[in-house]
Amino acid sequence: MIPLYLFLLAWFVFLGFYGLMSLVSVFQLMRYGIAQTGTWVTTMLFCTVALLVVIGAGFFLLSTDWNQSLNILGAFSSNPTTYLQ
Amino acid sequence: MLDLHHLPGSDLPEKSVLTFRKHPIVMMSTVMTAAVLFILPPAAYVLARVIKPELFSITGVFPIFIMVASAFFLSGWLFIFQSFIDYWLDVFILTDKRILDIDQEGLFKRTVSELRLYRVQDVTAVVTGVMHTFLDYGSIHVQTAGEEERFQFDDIPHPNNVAKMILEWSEEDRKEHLEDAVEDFGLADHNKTAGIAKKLEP
Repeated sequence: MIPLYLFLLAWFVFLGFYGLMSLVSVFQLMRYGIAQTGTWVTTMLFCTVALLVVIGAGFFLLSTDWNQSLNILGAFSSNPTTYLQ
Repeated sequence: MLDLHHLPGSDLPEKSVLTFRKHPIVMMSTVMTAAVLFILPPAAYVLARVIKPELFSITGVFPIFIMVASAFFLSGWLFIFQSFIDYWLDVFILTDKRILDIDQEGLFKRTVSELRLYRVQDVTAVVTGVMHTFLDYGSIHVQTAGEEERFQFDDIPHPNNVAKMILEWSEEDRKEHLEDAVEDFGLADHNKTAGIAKKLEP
């Protein structure tokens, strides 16, 4: 039985690590890239799409009751009622 | 950022003539990998709906799927971005004084090489292969007065045109630095002798 909020926590940890890696990548591009339109456009595109995905996923996850727990072994059971308790 | 009007290591006024990168075709493998990565989450969703339709009707499973799919997509997106950075930061800059070869390997390894144009002796453009011929991209080899080949640019678009430009500008720069060019080409002794002989003429 795994509480759902643990998955949320893991997702937040991943987002933190992802944000750090993205920041480093953007910093490198801004530092060493040539001052051209392409540099700015690709940076904005990357940040925009990443933000949209995070925000979109967040909207999906808002309506979830994270206090529930998930029975992983039950997920392979033929009885659906054993999945979640 | 790198300003083309104020390039690093320039002690003389110079103007940027041409900035070129590798042909975008080199990013094809990255794009195809990305396409596969982005298709996988929706494909997994469709497959799960077909094999086990009742799975996503259970509360909790769909949010977990959303989190995993978003993490997967974001990872792929970052991979593409970093691959693009590796491609975008590899740049060759031809000015009226020198050639700059900026080579980026990964995020934290960067090599900047430069070659003064008056040292250029020979420029060779090589286009080999069906794809290279149809898309007109290939390699450029720049030979200086030394025995060792100095610069090689791979997967450059329109290599013949670029080679021609390098030769033209190197010829211009050689006129301004005739003495330096003569010394590099090993004709210094001969000209020194000729110069002395000229001075001794009545």
